[in-house]
Amino acid sequence: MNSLDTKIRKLLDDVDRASPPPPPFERLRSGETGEPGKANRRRIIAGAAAAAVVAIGVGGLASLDRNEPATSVPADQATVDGPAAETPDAGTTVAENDPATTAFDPATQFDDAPADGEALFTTPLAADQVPVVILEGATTTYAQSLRYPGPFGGGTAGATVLVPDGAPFDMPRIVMDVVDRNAANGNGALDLSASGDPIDVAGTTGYLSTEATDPETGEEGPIHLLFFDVDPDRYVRVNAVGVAVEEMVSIVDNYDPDTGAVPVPDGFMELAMPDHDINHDVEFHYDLGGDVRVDLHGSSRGAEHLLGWLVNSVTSTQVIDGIDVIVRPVQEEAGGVNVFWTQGDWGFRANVFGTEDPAVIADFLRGFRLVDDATFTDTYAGGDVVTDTTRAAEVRAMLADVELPQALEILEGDLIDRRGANSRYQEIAEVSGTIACALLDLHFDSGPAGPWEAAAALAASTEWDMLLEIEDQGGWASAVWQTAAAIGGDGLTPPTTTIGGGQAPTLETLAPGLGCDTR
Amino acid sequence: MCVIDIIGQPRHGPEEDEKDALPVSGRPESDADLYERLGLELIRFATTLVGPSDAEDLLGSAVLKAIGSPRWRAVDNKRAYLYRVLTNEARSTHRSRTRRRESELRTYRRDDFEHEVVDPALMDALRSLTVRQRAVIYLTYWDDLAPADIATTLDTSLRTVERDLNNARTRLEETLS
Repeated sequence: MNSLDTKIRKLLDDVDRASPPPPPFERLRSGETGEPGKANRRRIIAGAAAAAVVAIGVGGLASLDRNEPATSVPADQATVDGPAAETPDAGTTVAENDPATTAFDPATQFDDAPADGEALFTTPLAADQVPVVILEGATTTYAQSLRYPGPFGGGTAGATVLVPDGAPFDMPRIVMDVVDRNAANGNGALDLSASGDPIDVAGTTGYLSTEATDPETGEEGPIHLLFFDVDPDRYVRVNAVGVAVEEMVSIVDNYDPDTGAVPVPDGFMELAMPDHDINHDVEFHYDLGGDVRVDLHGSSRGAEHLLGWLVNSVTSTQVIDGIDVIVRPVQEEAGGVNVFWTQGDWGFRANVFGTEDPAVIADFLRGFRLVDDATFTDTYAGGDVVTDTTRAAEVRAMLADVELPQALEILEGDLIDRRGANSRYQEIAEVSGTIACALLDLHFDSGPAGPWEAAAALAASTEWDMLLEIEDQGGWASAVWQTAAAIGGDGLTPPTTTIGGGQAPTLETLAPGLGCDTR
Repeated sequence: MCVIDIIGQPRHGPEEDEKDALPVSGRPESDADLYERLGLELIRFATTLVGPSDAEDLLGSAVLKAIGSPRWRAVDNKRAYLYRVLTNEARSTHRSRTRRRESELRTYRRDDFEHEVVDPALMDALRSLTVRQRAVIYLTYWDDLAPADIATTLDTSLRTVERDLNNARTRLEETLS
């Protein structure tokens, strides 16, 4: 043990000796710890009362916060004047956030938050630090922040990735992972032999297709795509760029599909592709006037996010202000570029339209600023924006006319625990989508006991103020209402709606339309 | 050059030796019994996070918040859950306290407990860390947890734990020298 470790242990020994004894459990329950007067102002929700708030609503269909004025006071600061309440009043409570999740204080978003106005481009971000970003000299016209569970099935999460030692986005690059054959993936009957030419690999026959050059840039590859079966239920997928076939095969021969392990050859390093339980994606659009626009996309999936874009691309790293970036053409518009880079746990892609001048692009990268909610709101010109500061109050207001079955379990955190900046349209889509998906689950799980309660609740979405507000702004409200119509339900009888071909709608057919599988 | 870690360790699941304790009778442990069993270590952890003067208050509010949560009954590893709630509660307290004016007076209802006074220099060293860094230091050096287990306990990423531990050690090396 080195001297620092010794000092730290001594420090903790001293802290241990200085620790007071724990107060008796009974005194905790009576709220008699700490400052006098505080006990009477501490809302205590005991076991029975806590159970009562798990299911939103008390006694049949009930409303959320119907009688409670919207408030943005964080749960940990909630106080009740007078004697501590043992039981919540009916209809006044939405189930508390789980205190074991980070109690989110919008006033201090990060434990070591960047200073307001700090440059994004040189600030490493942790996976749970959701950035709110402006671009100097530009007007922000769009904001979106999505929160979704991991793993992200559409990317390279969990894959084994070999890259040049010290150059994570250069070549040669080999990405290997195992794909399950199942109905959800839609690949149960996939015939690998149709994907390429046969080749001996890993003691079996694989199928290889190769592009000599990058189809987007014309740069020399090669770019390989290789598949081979592991067993009837799984196959290995290999994306390799800038490596000869023989070298690729020699590496893949030693890949263990059960563990993902592979001996790392000299000159390579393995790039971590971790899964996260929760992912965040952000998107901002900036208008600088004239023909120049910049869109910024960020993901807490970091390098995995970038590889999702670049896995089949010939890439070469440039260095701007000490940061490795990759610049690729934008295929959707002539004269635009995509700039990719990682920043701590986060990965970013800046779409720059209207210029390919490297100096101008570099200035844009340096001009991204991490800002607080007030600054962002002041510079936002895309209509109403919901930020961490305003989210709780705005979401609670959205829920004011939403009536849900007692059996539906949604905790407030499911609807509010989202970080970053969202246009009001997107925020409404997230809130209503979470509720609609939960109602779909309840409807198809309920059986004969009461499937029509969930259907009736979803049918009432045609009257939800939040959806009426955005009805003409996009297709989301219609998507919810069409889903509601598909399962019918007037609250009196079980629904008998069928869809095309006389088939009854299923969760599998309806859920994707609302993005339920990604919530 | 941005730094990319070599592949990290997989997360471990909940500590196998800390399920809901079943006394000999086979009946689940009550909240009171659980508190009785864990109280000493929780107050020690609370002291590390906020100092001896505020540890009792922190423990009280955190335990109440935990057992009052609708999810409490379904929590499998209640010990880890309590550590997590304590850390989160300390961060809230820490933030609110740093916003208070220095001249604000606070009075306490205190037991007649004379605790040892920690060397002010050592407490200054601890105070130089963020709340989460203190939690990581405690769990590393007192509980001898591996970073992956700390990440599970605090419900954060392995990389965050490693960063906090590294930063905390660097800070303590400066302040304890």
